Amino acid sequence: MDLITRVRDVFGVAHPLADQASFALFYQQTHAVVFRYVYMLHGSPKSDVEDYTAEAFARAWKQRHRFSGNDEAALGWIITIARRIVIDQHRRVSSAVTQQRDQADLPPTPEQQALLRERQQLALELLNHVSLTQRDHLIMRYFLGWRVQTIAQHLGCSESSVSVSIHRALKLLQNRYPTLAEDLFHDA
Amino acid sequence: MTHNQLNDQIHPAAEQAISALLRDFGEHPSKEFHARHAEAPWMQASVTKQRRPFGWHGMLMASLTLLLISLWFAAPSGFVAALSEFFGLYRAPSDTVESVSGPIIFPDSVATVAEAEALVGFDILTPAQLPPEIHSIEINVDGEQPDMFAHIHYLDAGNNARVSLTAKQGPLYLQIGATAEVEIVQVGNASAEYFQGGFINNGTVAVWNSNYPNKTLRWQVGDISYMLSSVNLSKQELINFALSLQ
Repeated sequence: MDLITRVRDVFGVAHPLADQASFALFYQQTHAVVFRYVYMLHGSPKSDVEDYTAEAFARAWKQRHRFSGNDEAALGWIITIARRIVIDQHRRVSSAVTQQRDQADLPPTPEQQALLRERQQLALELLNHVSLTQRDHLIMRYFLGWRVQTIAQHLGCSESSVSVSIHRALKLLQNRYPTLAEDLFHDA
Repeated sequence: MTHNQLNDQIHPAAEQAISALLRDFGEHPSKEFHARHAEAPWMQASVTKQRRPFGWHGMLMASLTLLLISLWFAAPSGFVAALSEFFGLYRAPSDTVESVSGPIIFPDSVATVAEAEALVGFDILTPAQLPPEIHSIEINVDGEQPDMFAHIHYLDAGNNARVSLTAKQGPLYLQIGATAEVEIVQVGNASAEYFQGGFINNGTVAVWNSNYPNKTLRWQVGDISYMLSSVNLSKQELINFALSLQ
């Protein structure tokens, strides 16, 4: 069951943005998902992630009258808004991002190694090694639980391009972390 | 050519590991984020009346009560569990923490699960069929919105808790000892954390003991966190109990 279905089943929202109270409910039910999506797409610091998540909901609130669709479409809509905010921000500070990635390639210190044992830190580190587009595809596929077809429709690109992007990202991470599965499933 | 083909393959376990890492990414916004959004224009509707700004003391008391109640029902006399910090599931810096003193605060009892659901504001999963050794249940609700806990204690013929279920909307915070062994297990489609042990009071400090028979299983369904705790059930019995919730 993908995340959209889980959100719909758990909360049973009929029209998430129909009025003020519905939007409030929509916010309460989806802000954690949007926050995590932004966190994985952007990375640290958390304060930036919170600002971008807040900005996404603020924009959605202002533009809510333009939206039509069910709860599934609403989640996709807010994800799109959040994604644009992150991508715009990355374009503005591309040099800083490059610097962050360079730092990630350095051998981790003992303190960093301790942090890396935490699964969330590890997830962020993994995502930092792939391009922004690949990161977006991986998050949509494995965090949001969207199928390749859904991702392609959502982003307006071909299924094959999404498949290739995900495959290349997985391959890159597999080569960079050859013992990831063993570490994760046997040393947990 | 063969070398290239091999290099191009994605090992299923690698994909599974990456998938699990991303799927289980569980970071939560800070309390400052929630406080900021309590003033958002869409929160000025009727929902506002149901929400209060994040209460530090409320969270502290709720977390303390959660642990004490869980282990009060599970622990043999003479054993008292303790927490020293309350804002996240994390390992203590060591296996020794400051012990908790003072009276045990019992939360309000309610008669039915439906009544508890009305108070906490979300549906609580319960077992489709109770095991034969369960003779009655006791239900408590504590905390304050939006951090309310529901506790359901499944009691045996001797009125002892055989297993206790805790449910809460959003993250459910718990501290474990530095050497606690946490295992990731599957509960249906969800990843769950399983560990055995507890903090045992020893004067002014409490010491983590991984041999202490209390076992804990934590997982999340949508935005609702669940925790099962028992000194009686085995790990597999806890997982089976979790799987029976609907």
